[in-house]
Amino acid sequence: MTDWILALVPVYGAALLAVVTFLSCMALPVPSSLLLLTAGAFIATGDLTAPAVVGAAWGGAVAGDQAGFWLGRLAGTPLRNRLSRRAETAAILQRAEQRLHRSADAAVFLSRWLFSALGPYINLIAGATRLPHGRFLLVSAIGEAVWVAGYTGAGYVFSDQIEALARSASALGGALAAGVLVLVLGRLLWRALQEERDS
Amino acid sequence: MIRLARLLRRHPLMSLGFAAALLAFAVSAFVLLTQPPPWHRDGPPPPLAGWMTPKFILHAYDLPPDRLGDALGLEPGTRPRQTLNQIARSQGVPVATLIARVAALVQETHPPPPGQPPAAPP
Repeated sequence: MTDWILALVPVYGAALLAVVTFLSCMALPVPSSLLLLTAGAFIATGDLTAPAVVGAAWGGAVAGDQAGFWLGRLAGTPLRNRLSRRAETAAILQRAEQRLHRSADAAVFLSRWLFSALGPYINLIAGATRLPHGRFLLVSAIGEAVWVAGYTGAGYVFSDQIEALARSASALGGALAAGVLVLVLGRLLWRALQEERDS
Repeated sequence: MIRLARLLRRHPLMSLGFAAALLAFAVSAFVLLTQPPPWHRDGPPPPLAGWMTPKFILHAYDLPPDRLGDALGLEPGTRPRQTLNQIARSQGVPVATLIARVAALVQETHPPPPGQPPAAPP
């Protein structure tokens, strides 16, 4: 079933990887992990060259993060303006943004490669809550480098096992992302439950 | 229990999200446990397929390059980075024919130990 996708990698090489990593950072369901692993395998065989593939995949991913960030900023502006008009809600907004920004570096960095299923949404939130752009760019670029290097590296080393590896990687990624959501939502619900008891 | 029901009513979206995340976690953990990643680099190579390039086949199956070139009908110095699909198309033969030829070469180069049945064709 995945054969035709794999067949695109040696034919379109770096350009394909750039497009796919861009789209995956915009939350579109493209098999970016499988293609990065496959590209790594074709680097090992000598069909593709590492600098072109890694550079293109990284560039596509960083550009995709930027697109998500600016989309969030654009879409979040009207709501933010409305909330800022009243002094009361403006203060709440400011407090919420400050709290988010405190843990933003870790959230952005880890959602590039470890919890990558959450990455596109973190991009939108970062843009909407006015995370400083330079800081977001730097942290996301470093995180994407880890993601691209990790997957192409694994494909390079385990070039005979890419399909099995891709299956495990997507299950592992799904488990980690879902695990984080369980923890975050569980904590919020637990707090709500405590407040309910207190009132 | 009553408090839990009230929580569900007060925060339906968050509760639903929590349940969905828990389910997704369970499913992916199950997949991971039943199909653990291949943490050995010398496992069996993937079955021959049309997406593979000659270089990939050489790498995965450890074949003599000139014999593979003969089997695929490639002239020395042919454009690199062609998949078996592309080679088959340019020669006007079904890709299954090329795969069968490579499989025969694999059998010949790495014969299965006596007493074992030959590997099934891909």
